[in-house]
This record gives sequence, structure tokens and C-alpha cells, in this order.
Amino acid sequence: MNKNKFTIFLFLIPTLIFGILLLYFVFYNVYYSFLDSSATVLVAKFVGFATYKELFSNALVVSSLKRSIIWAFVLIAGGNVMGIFFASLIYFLRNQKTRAVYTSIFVYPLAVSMAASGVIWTWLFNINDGVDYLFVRIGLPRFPWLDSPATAFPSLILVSIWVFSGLASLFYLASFQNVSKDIVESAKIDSASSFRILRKILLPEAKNAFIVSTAIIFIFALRFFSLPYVATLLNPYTETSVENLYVLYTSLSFSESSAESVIVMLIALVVVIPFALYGIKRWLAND
Amino acid sequence: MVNIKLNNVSKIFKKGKTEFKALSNINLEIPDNSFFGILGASGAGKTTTMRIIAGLEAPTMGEVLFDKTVVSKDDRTIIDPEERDIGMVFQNWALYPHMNNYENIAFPLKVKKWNQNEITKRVYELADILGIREVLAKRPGEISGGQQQRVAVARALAKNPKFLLLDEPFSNLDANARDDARALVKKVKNELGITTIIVSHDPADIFALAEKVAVISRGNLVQLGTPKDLYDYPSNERVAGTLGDINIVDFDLKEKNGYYDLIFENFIITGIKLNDYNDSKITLGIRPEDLIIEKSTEIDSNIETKYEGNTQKIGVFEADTVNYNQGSFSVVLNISGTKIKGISREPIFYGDKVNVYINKSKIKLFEYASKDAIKLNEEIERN
Amino acid sequence: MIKNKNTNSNINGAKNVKNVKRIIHNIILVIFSILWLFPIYVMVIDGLKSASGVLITPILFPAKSSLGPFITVTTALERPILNSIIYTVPTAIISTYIGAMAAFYFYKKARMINTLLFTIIAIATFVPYEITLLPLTKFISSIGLLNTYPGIIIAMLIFYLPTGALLMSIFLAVLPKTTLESARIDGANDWTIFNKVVLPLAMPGFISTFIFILIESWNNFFVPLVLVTTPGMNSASLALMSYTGGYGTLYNESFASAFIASLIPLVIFVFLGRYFIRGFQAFGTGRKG
Repeated sequence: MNKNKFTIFLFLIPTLIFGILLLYFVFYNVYYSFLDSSATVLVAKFVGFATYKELFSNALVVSSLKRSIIWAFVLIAGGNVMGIFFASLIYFLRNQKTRAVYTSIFVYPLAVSMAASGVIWTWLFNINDGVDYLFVRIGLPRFPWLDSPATAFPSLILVSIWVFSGLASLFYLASFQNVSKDIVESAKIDSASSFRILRKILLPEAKNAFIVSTAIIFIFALRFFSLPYVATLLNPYTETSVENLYVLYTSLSFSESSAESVIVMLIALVVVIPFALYGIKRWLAND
Repeated sequence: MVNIKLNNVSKIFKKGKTEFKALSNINLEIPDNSFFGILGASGAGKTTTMRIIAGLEAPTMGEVLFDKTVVSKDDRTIIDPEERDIGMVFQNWALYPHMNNYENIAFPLKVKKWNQNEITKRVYELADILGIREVLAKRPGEISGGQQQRVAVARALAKNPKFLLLDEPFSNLDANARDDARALVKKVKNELGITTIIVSHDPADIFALAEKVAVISRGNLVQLGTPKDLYDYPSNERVAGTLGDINIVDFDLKEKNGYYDLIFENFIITGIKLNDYNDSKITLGIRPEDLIIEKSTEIDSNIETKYEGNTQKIGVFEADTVNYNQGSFSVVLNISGTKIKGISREPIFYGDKVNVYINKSKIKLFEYASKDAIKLNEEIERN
Repeated sequence: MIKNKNTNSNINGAKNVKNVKRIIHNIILVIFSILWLFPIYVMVIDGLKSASGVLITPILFPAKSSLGPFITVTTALERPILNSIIYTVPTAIISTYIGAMAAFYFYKKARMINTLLFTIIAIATFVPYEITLLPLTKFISSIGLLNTYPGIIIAMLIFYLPTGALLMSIFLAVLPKTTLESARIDGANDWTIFNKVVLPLAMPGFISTFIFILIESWNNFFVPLVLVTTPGMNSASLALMSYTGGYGTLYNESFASAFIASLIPLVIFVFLGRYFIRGFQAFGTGRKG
């Protein structure tokens, strides 16, 4: 039996090793963020919070952090709204097959890499040949999209909404389908409109879907790297914080890069920890 | 084979901060080659007992022995279930849905690394005994419940286990399939001569199969004996109920020349002898079959003579509800709101006037306060 | 008579309203589907444009088609796509299989300490891996695996193994306990139970997890970006960088390259999309679908 108790522990060991490695990386960042390691320093020494202070006096760092958070919140709003919109359009379809087809159409951008999306949308946002061509033909003004500092970031947000609305709709659809069919049917018999059924019956039950899609979108948004990187390169008007920490790293400001990593990590944990704890019970609902 | 022994076994389940004592101080010996039953209501602890014997749970306190070997003790499993060499049929059969029935039965043998020829021979041998040869190529999901159960039995027996555990094996079958399954299990047990333990809440399983039975109630072993002993002489009211349908009614006592009359409204049993009983009330257990009910006609007013010995006429009552069940009619009398059930051989209808007789030698007497059995006085039985 | 007529026309009226609503409902769905599928449309029509077509037609409209751009980018992306396969298939298999092993451990041992370990794994799944940039590159180069296949696979595993463990834990949670107990009684050890009973029973979940990790790692841009130092080791998504539109580049090759680089995940999505969707659903809601 001792042999067996040991065997089962072996099942966990590989995951544990990689988990510990990841944990080690996180703490390594923390440690490094208190040094002053960079290309110009021969022997790095402990400087306490000095690196953080420096970091916050760097306008680019602050603006990229702000931008990441704004991106997350706007995408949460847009993704949830579009997610609810798509989920309700799909929910009121009768045919199971049509539902599956439309769901796939709205979800497929998740299977396309953000880098590829970046390439595609860069051209679609081209002010001569892209959607602007159509805009001009139908008498609308030419929209500058990625070409103007003011519109580049919102344009990228639009792309991210295209990617993530389907994901949110999955969660909403799942929660709509959890609502008893009988309740919806009886509301229909009382000739309640679809909109009313949505507002009075389906949405009040969709709290879980809201929490889940909000948390997941937040986590993904905080990671946005390749979309702005491919679409606009490293650019002060669209740079996200993970891009910025990469910039600091490539310009050999190692401790600053680590410090920004720690900050991003802390922001992520604010959402990730409550979400993980919230999820544990449902994830392991076997006892 | 093997002699199974439970010494002072207790099991406590913890869920968060709440503790639940599933078993307390169970002592039990299951002799080699016997067919042993464990009977109890659901939640009584019988399945826990079986899981402890199987090794799927460790006893919180106490020990389990196979012959002289301690297999688990004091919250430790010393020999794991996979090494205990036992066969078990689960309540839901727990067949492997992704394997066909042949592979299901062969699985324990493959694990033991039997060679292919031996495995084939053994699987076909068992399939023939159990009559499932023609379904071997199908998957469990494609055959009937009765057949699935046979596959489960075959799988349990495949490796010639030391003993066989049956956990509510018939509860997922319909009534007809159940009778066949019981007969088959009995046949297999007799043919292979294997120690078999059956856990059930259904006394019918126990009566059909077990030679000896332990009754478990609320985690305690309350009685041990042959099924007939337990049926006729239950040690308390709860055992009586566990073993079969029984009317439990509190009666008033009235002494008359050393004998007692037992009175419940107009339901009066006379001439009961009781020694040293000091309460004014007594609890009676009357099995429906001991309460004989006949249609009352005005012509036969002298009916008392029809039954001999201890049968006493109680009187004429009105039938309330009637159910037909396998050749007899169970008739419920409504006596001031208390339902008392008896049996009639002939159809009775709602509202019929009926004569009610009681077999006095079969009534169970329990102390009013403790609900423990009072030994029936021999004089009454001879009376 | 008149009354009857009225009810009839009422019913007809209600029917008409219903039909109109259904048509509007479908029109909205079709419009948004077109919007959502638009990038696929432009990838195909523009990927098929010849250089002269690029010069005379806008992106939105097709021109005379030529396989030229597709052939050019396919030749150029051959190696990166092969690299991506080498990076992601082992990553997805190992993450799913080893993650499933960890999940089996958690399935069997529901103790306090394990809830804690599980929580850590759940958190690890959602950590933005970009933040490990510095320690990751230091670690991979310290073990001498910078710009190598094993190095990139190990880096991917660090991030996707927790995902595998989390998803497989969700999918294992619904396995019937008694079937596994029955296997123990039949004499099987944990290793046999895992391979012969747990994995076959959890196969749909296993496929979901595999597909999910395969697509996610295929689309991973960051890990190859920081660990690849020579173009020959580029992944498919990384290689796309050279096709981004600047003025002067022709867009037909951009679209063709985006299409070719996304082809494998898109094909998987078309045929096994429900597994990918189930993976995402489990991720969020714990639904085992």
C-alpha cells in the first residue's frame, strides 16, 4: 500500500515541477525588480523601490499600463454587450444545427492567431484600399483608423471585440440554456415577446456568465501583445504594458522590465485569485 | 477460502467541521463458504460496512481480518483493495462502458497477466454459467439491465476471488428480472462454493439468498441470526420493520386473572400472558400475513371455529383501501385514523364488512418505552 | 359569422407578425455573420489576387485570380509551419496527458492540501505568461536551450501544463466513482486504471483539452518571439511579421500568408470546433458538456 500511495503521488510530480518553475519565475521577477540591473550596470545591487519609482516617472510605462487597463475595461463592456446580443440571437433559433453554425461563426476568430488578425485588419484599415474605400464611395468621410494617434487604439479595440464577443456569447448561451425550458415555454404561451423573455427570465439568471466572461476577458486583455505589435509595431499610441515590458527588456533595462512585470502580475492577481477561488467549487463539483 | 472478521469497527465521516458516525463498534464474523446477508435501511451503514470489507474505505477505528491477516486497522488500509483478491458487484454494476462485455469480464484477468488462451477459456466458461455468451461482443450499453448484471457477476467471479461482495445487486432490476437474478446468484454460489456477502435494503433478497444475516440500523449491528429467526423474533421494533412489512400499534393493557387484554379502540386481543411488565401501554408488531381478513357474511356467524389454535377473532371491521399484490389482497383497516394492514385471499372492496382474525402466536411484543422485544410467553404459544 | 372572421384575421395577423419577426431575426444574424466572416472573405479573394489585380482593385472586391501569392507564401512559410507543428503538437500532447495525470491525482485525493495545490494550478493557468519574460529567457538560455525545439517546448509546457491540469480536472470530475473503484477491486493499480479506464472514459474531455492547447499554443506569439533568435526557427505566427502591411508592400501576399498561417487551426476549428468550444466553456464555467 505504501508503494501505491507513492505511485499516485508520482502522477502529480511533473505538473508540480513545472508549477514550481512558474512560481520561481514570478518570485525571480520580484527579486530582480529590487535590483538596478541594466546594460549600464556592471554589478547589480539592491536598490529597494528605486526601480519602481523610476518606472512610474516614465511616461511611456504609465501610459501603457493605463492603456492595458482601459483596453480590458472597454473590451469587457463591448464583449459582454455583443456576447449577450449574439447569445440571445442564437438562443431564439429553433434549429440545433443553425445554432451550432452561427455559434461557430462568432467564435472562430478565437482560433485565428492575434498576429494573423493583426495582418488582416491592418489592411482592412488601410485608408486607400480598405473599408475606407467603401466609406468614401457611399459618401462617408475617410476614417483614419490606424493612421492617426487618436483612432489607432480604438481601432485595435474594435478588432479585439471581433475576437472576443464569441467567447462571451458562449458563456451567456450556456447560462441561458440552464434556465428551465418550461419557464421559457410558458412565457411564450403567455405571448411574452422574445425581448421580454430575455430581459425578465434569461438575463437575471446570467450572473455567472457575466462574472466568467468578465474575468476571462480581463485576463486575456492584459496579455495583448501580438495584435498591437503586428498591426502598429512598437508605437507609443498603442503600446500595452506587456509590450512595454518587452521594450524595456530589449533595451536592456532588466530591473525595470521585471518591476513592470510585477505590477502587471499584481493587477492580474486582483482578478485571477478571486476568480480561481470562485471557480474551484464548480470546477471540482464531484463531491 | 477465507474467514472475514470485523473487530470493533467504527467509521466516522468528516465533512468540513461536521462529523457523521456511520458505523459504531461493529463486531462480525463471516464464516468461510457461507452466504451472508447485511440488511438495513438506506443510510444505515451497510454499504459502508461492505466498502470497509472491500478496502475502499478504512475503518476509523477497529480492524478487519481475512483469516489471521489484518487487512485494515485504525484508519489505515494495510492491504489495498486491488490486492485483496475479491469480487464485487456494484449497485449500478459499474461496468466499463468503453469495453465490450468480453473485455469487461477479461479485464481482471488481463490485469493479472493471464495468457490469452486461459482468459478466453475462463470468460467463455463464466459466460456459459451465466447465460451471456451471445452478448459478449456487445457493449454494456447495448444489453438489458439483467444481462448487464450477469456481466458484472461474471467479471467479479473471473479471477476466482476469495469471496464475492454484492452491493444491492438487484435494486436496479425490474421485479421479474429480479427473481431470475436471485435464482442465478444462488445457483452460481452453490456451483462455485464461494463465500458471498450480499448487502441489501430489501428483505426479499435476504430471504431468497442469505443463510445468515446481520441487521444494521443507524450504524449499529442490532441483530444477527438466520433470516427466519430475525423475522419471527426481531430484537426490537426497528429490526421488525427492516425485515418486512409490519403494523406497529400502541395498545392499552388491562389485566384480567393474570392475563392481559390488549386494547386499541375496538381492536382487542385477549389472553396475553406477560411477566414483570409494569407499563400501562405496550407496543405491538403485527405482520399483515398474521392478520387474516375475510369477507363477512351474515350466514357464517360461527366462523371462529374455522381457525385452530392461536387464531382469535377480533371482530367485524370495514375495509378501507385494498391493494392486489401477487396473489393476495392487502386490506387496510382504518381504526380511528390508524391504518392497520391485513391479508385476504379473496377480493375485498372498499367499504366491505370484513371479519378480522389475528394469529396470536406470531404477534411481536415490544416494551412501550424502549421498543425492545419482550419474549413471548410460552404459555400463550401453547394456549 | 362575423366574429369568426375576426378571430381568423387576428390569427393571420399574429402569424404575419411572427413571420416578420423571424425574418428580421434572421436578417440580423446574417448581417453580423457577414461582418464576422469578412476577414475570411478578404483573405481568400485577396490572397488570390495577382500583382496587377492588387493595383487596380480595392481590398473589398475580387479581381482576376492567380495562385501566385499562395504559392509564394506557402514556400516561404513551409518551414515556420513545420516549426509550429514541432512546437505545438508535443506541447499539446504532453500538457494534456501529464495534466490528466495531475487531474487523476486530484480526483483521487480530495484533501485540504490538494485543494490548495489545485488553487495554485488554477491561478497559474491564468497568469499572464508575458511577465515571465526575463526569468524565462534566463532559464532557457542557462540550460542551453535558447533557439532550440526542446527549449521552446519546455517554455510552452510551463504555461500550458497548468491549463491541461485544470481542464482535465474539470473533465475528470464527472467520471463515475464506482467504475474506478470497480477497477481497483478487479486488481488494477493506479497506472492501469489511469490508462485503461480513466483516459478512455474521459476521451471527449481529453480531445477538448488537446485541441484547446494545440490552437492556443499555435497562436502563441510571445514565446517564440523571445526564444527564437534565427529566422529558421520562426513559428508560423512569428513569420507573419514580415508580411505586415506597410506602404509599398502588396497586400495579396499579406492576406495569403495570414490564411496559410491560420490554415491548420482553422481546419481544426471547422472539423473539431465543438471540442475547442467545450474547452473554453470548461475553462470558464466548469461545464463538462
